[in-house]
Amino acid sequence: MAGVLFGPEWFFGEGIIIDIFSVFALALVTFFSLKYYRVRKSRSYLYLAISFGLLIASLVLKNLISTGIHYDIFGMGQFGFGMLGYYALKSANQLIFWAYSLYYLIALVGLYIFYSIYQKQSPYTIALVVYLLLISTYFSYPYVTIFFLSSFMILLLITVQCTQRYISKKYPATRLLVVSLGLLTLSQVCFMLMGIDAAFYIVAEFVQLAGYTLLLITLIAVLIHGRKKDENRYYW
Amino acid sequence: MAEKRTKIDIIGDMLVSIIHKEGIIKPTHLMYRSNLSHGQMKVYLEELLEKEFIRKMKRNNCDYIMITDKGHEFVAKLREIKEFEKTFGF
Repeated sequence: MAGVLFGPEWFFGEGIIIDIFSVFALALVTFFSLKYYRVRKSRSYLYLAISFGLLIASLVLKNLISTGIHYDIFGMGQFGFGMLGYYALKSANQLIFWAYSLYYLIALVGLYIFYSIYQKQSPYTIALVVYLLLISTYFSYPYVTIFFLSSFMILLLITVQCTQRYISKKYPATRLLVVSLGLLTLSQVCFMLMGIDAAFYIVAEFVQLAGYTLLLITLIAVLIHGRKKDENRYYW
Repeated sequence: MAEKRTKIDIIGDMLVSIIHKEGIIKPTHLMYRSNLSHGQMKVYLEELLEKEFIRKMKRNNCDYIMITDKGHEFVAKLREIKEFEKTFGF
């Protein structure tokens, strides 16, 4: 598993560009969430900012690891034979294991914090979920599908809750958010299928790009519509 | 049962009440429109004056409260925040 890139080698540059855009969309939401937290002092804003901040950190880390592997910074291809080569390879393997594990953990914790904004968690539930996330992280290194399956499950639950809110309130911007979250959930399914064919990784990246683009559009819609003076809205 | 209003909600309600009276309102009307007691109103008015969201003025020997540009800007910001809250379901 060590030294393995997620997608095909030739897609390395394109993948980074997609992830930079994703980071940009997430960073904007984080920025406004923190800005509004200073006014409202509501924990939901803080949790959203922390959650998206962790997702940004995970994407940055993922790309750092990919870059390291792509340019052979870990020196995986230079180890010679014999005991010295074996130990050098082993330590590089360990470094990549910890880096990937940190990426998986940060991403899963970020998603779980996002989920917990909508579902209040008891301390016992939090303890159980943290345990399960650690287990998922540990097994995600040899079986990366476990990571995408866990992400898929958390994102699916968030999307379902968001959909229920949309059905009850019929708020147009929430519809955009539902579609955005739906696409991000779907991208995890595509990531799971990349073991069958590497092309699924490319599909997943583009679905993810569409999801983050819609997230950005949702934020822009909120900023434009929110600032508009509407005389019929007595209670702003 | 309606949720308890936060401090920011109350400030928003007060400023919007003034806007709906063409930007100028009598203190008693503001008190009724914002659903506040006299004591609460006094505290919030002091804060709004201190933050320069409103200013006091006299017209025909009566006291009036007027919203400032800063107050208008704050209401716009609150509307933006409300929109974000409704979208993300906070």
